[in-house]
Amino acid sequence: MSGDNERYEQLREIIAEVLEIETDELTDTGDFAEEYQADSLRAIEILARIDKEFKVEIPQSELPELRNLKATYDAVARHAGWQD
Amino acid sequence: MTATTAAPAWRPAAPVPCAAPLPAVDRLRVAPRADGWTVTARVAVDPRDPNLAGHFPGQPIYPGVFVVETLCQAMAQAVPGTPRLRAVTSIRFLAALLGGDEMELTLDVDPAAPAAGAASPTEPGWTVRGTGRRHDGTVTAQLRAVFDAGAGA
Amino acid sequence: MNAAEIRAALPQRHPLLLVDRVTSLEPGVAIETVKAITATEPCYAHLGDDATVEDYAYPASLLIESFGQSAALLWLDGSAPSHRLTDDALLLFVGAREYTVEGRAYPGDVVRHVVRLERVVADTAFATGESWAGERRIATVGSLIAARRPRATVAEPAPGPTGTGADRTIPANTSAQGGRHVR
Repeated sequence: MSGDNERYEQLREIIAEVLEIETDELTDTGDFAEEYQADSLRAIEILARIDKEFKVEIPQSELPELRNLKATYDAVARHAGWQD
Repeated sequence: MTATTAAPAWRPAAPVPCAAPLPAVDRLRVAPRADGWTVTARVAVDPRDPNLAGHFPGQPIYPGVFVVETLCQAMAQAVPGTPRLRAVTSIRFLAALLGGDEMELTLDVDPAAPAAGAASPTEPGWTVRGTGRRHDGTVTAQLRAVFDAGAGA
Repeated sequence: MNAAEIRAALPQRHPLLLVDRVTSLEPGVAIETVKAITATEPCYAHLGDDATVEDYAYPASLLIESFGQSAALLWLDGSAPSHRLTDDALLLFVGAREYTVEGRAYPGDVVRHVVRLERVVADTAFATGESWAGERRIATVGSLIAARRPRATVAEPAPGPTGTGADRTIPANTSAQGGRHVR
């Protein structure tokens, strides 16, 4: 689990950086658009950064699912096969 | 955010002493703030400016990079020591500036924190957070940047 | 790619067409371009006799523009024909992250941009790279972001008498270069 936690916190850092907020401001379920004023470009940036940092390609069709940290982590984990 | 203090006066920008594609600041307002400054720069987009003849023919649009030019000229004129750009941490262009528009770029300038994530955190300098707005209030650009301390260093 | 081919591919014109030559191109992957700087550049025209050598440092804004135009040449060349710019699509410079100035370029320098296309997501491209003046690296670019957008979603009415300008198209030689680039 510690590896998962580490990746979860790494993802939190990446997303906070894209959204230009402090890491501790980004909650697990805070909606990127509503809570942090993220527009579609921010969402695309998050997707591109995940690709770069984790080498995980999330199809752009799943962009709407990347609403908050937890949902984004679940999507990354699913495509990376982490939960197995 | 003009708080309780009286707003300082606008002053016309001085001629640009260094290489520049255009004078990118018309008027400037500088207010002290904590250990730094709040700098507000205004520039009108002149559709007859020679640069805009090439950007683009028949359709003058203030190039996004000229927001960086406005940033650099405003910092050089407003902050003692003529600081120079060290990094653009982040810049986003949200709406176009067309010929006839005026941009107001507001910059919050703070001393660079000793251990910030900057490239050379030990060097003195300034961190800048800025927002550019069209005269109708539309946000055209948001930026974060790092400047050196300048001062003929 | 020579100056004429670059001119055919990009909508910018003098004095803001800031790529002189493409020296290598791996479509959709990487490009190297060259921009020579001379003392006759318009950005030096206003300097007086008392200007110091530091006053001749080529402006960061134009270096970023030159890098961005190099990235645009790379992206456009790597696009499938159906994805080239058309009258219905615009190319916008939407942002950049971690652009770091490491040195300056002066008249007489030949600036070389090394650009890699990092990722294209939903018509948004992320480019990364470096700029060199001879053996000196003068800038690193974490990411430069450009977007291809339908014209209708971008050409919002502008306030004032120039508002109709948003709907005008650039006179273009071919449809492939007719896209309005907004920077």
